[in-house]
Amino acid sequence: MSDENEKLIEDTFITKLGAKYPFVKAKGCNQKYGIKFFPSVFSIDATGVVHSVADDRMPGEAEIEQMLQAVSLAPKLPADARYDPIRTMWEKRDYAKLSAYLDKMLAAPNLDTEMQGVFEAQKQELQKRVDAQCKRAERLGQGPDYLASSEQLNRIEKEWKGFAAAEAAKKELDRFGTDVVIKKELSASKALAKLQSSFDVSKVSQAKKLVVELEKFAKKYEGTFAAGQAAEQLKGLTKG
Amino acid sequence: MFRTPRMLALALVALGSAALPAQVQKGGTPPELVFDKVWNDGPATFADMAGKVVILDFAQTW
Repeated sequence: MSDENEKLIEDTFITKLGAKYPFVKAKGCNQKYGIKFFPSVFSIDATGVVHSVADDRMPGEAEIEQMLQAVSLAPKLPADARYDPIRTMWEKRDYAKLSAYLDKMLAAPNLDTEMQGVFEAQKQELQKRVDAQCKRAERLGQGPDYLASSEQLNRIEKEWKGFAAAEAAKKELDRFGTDVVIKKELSASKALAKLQSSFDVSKVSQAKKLVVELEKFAKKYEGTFAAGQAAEQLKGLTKG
Repeated sequence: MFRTPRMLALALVALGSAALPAQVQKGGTPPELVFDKVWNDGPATFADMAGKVVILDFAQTW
């Protein structure tokens, strides 16, 4: 797909732009998807069907939420009623209960080989997800949007209570509470959120007032992530 | 937009020459791609995205 080398992609998107989401180089992707302009966005639903193409409006938050409803949180399991309790625990994100259940089942005498294999695979899957959440907590701890990170870290701490992932999230949150730079970032982000919610930008007069306030904000919190966000919003509001 | 493990946002780097347009239609099946290189813990293969909501964002370096 690409005529350019991986180093250029890495330098541009990963290093300079700091992309944190998965990035892929796939040979022939623009041809296969008929790309006519950049960026072009396609969405695919959980059943593997194209939900929107490049010419469509990008799916919004609510649309994505709706698509996510169809996604199963459970890993692959044999279609057998014996494994329904596991499926339910995955779906409810009750990981502590799932872990205890798997341990109990694996310790049971006369467990048949098939079930033992399934339970062991489930244990491994659970551990894999714990490890992934630990890494995620670490990544979130690096910012730059510490306010968004703290919300997600709180969720990890709650959801993965009793696992290493919750401890990793707590460690980062504790650091957020003591690190002077991060505290400044958090306070700037909170101030920006408050400022943005105080104005209805669909009304011209209020949008103008917000422009003035954002300019003041960008100066006051210069150098913070929130100041950058304010500058971006200013660009949008003053364009045209 | 990439908030849960259920959803996967992928930036596919499409570089180089203009391509003959393919027909990827709403309601259709997305063409399968071979991943040459993956960054940021992305899926190893196209098939690994099965069962998830996927946002494919085709980007280009300038």
